[in-house]
Amino acid sequence: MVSLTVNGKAQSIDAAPDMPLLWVLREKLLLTGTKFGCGTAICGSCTVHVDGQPVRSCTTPVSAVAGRAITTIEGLSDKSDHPVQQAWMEVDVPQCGYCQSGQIMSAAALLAQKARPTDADIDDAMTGNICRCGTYPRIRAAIHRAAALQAATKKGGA
Amino acid sequence: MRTARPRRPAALPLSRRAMLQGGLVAGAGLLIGFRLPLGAGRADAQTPGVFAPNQWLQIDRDGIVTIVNSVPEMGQGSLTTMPMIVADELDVDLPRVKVEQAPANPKLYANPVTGSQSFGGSRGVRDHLAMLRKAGAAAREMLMQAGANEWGVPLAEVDTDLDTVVHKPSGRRMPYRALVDKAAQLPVPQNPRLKKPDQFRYMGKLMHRRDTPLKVNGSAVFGMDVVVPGMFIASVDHGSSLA
Repeated sequence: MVSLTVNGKAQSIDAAPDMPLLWVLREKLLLTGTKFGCGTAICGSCTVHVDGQPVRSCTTPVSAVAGRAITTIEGLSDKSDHPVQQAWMEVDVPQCGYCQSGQIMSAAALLAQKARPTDADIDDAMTGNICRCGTYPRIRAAIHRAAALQAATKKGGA
Repeated sequence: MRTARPRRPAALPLSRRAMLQGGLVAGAGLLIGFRLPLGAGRADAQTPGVFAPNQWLQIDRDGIVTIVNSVPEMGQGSLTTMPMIVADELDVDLPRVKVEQAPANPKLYANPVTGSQSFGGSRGVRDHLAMLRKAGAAAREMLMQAGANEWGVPLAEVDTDLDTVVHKPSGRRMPYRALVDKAAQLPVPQNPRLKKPDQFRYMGKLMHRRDTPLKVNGSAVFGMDVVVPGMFIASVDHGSSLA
């Protein structure tokens, strides 16, 4: 048994210690929003947050995240109202959408670190997230938009 | 093969047949389909009001339009474009047009131009445009005729204005939802008048995609996410080098 917290909920899961976190999420917890892409941490589609940091869940053994807080795309916000999700909808970023959960999780982690990322910051942070449809220009535009939304929210809330 | 494990089944989406039956039990109203030539799918055509087994639309008594989209949404936008086409010809507010995705069944859902249920080559809109426009226009014409009959006026004096039939000389108006049962009794026009491009409200304009909200919160269902009873998962265990 492995204990971890997924989207705010403490879970005790019957899984081998070396089972990838991605398999636990998708097959044990049926959280299928996180996608399997390459299985070797080179495409980014399986990105989730572990204690706020972006992590490739396909190569992370579940035992390595025992006791830690996991956030998946399903847990990023209650009503799809995280600034990154709002910006993604405004800009209509996804085409097929398969990589987008990972893109959004990477972008959300970036904005948590850097409130106003430059194009170079975005390219650096997002370089490990591959999009076969080539939505990169919209991803970059949406991250800038999300930064503005986040700034407005913080200002309004203060 | 690396693993083979059964997975738990997920709820399957509502089937076209189930929706049709449910709709009819509820006395749903107007059902229209177009597929020429008729033939292969005759079994389904036994459903009253549905004389054609492929693309069709339904308007229920709440004025909600439901269309079957036989072009899978795979990022090209069919979930968004197909209702735009119908909404324009039918003259309804776009959010009122719901989309049900067609199941795999070439007898019913083959592309009307290629004759096969295969998709690609940017053919979705091109090959379904005429059929969907005609379906929307025919339904509009039947609603107009139903309105004309209600008022006892000639069809030529009747027009539509977004979900509503209008009698032009008197300004009388009747919402589609109040006319669907009457319209469903009428013959389906085979060559309804189509709108001119300058009358389009949606076609040719940039619209927000309907699938985007599902793709930003993990709720969009991809092939890999589908689970059926007794299913096994197999994957190729590639060698780690080419040597």
